[in-house]
Amino acid sequence: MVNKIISFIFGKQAARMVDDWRPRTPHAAMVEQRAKQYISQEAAIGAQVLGPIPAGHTREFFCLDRNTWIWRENWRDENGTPQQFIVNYEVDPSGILKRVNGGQYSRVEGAELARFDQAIRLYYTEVAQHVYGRTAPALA
Amino acid sequence: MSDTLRVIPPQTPEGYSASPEASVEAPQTHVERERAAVERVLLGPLPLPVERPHDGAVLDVQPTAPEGIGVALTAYQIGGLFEQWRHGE
Repeated sequence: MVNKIISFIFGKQAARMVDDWRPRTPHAAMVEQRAKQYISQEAAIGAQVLGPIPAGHTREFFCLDRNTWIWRENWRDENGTPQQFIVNYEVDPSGILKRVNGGQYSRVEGAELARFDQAIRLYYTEVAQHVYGRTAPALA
Repeated sequence: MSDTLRVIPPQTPEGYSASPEASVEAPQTHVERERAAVERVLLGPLPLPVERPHDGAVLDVQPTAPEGIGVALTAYQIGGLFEQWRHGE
């Protein structure tokens, strides 16, 4: 309940930070740690589903939770300055909303939406097989 | 309400208002009637069925579903499965 209130007032990120500080039983902490390891493995596979990675870039693409997908890319510009963009794809009942580097939300539409759809379906089958050793169940 | 306090409905450049009060005024051309009908659909509750302004034909108009809803359902479903798998379920 407290987490929901914090999320409502300060946003999801603040709620997650508070959640990270919450004391846990050793078993719960181990499960959380394992989940983070899974996400890290998923992100490595996810990087491959968005097409060729430009030279010098590092990329992560992963499903954070049932409402959030993240695309993060890092590189250095010609001056050697670190650059980064983070795209948050939020799953909304009305569609997919996109937010780049914490800016304004925009709706994902058209060809971009089709590519996102292809990417998450490929991610689903590849991650199911290579991270969890499962055959991805058919989606409804 | 005093006449001096009466609010003047906002007017579009074409000369008709988007306010409910002024929407009663009959638009003068088919184009304006069509536009007024579209505005009613977009700005207010969807009237079903709709009478087509220029010839009176009754249309069974259904709201168009945004194209992203199906993708959102897929993304939500996939995310739910991964959440379960990550926690060993």
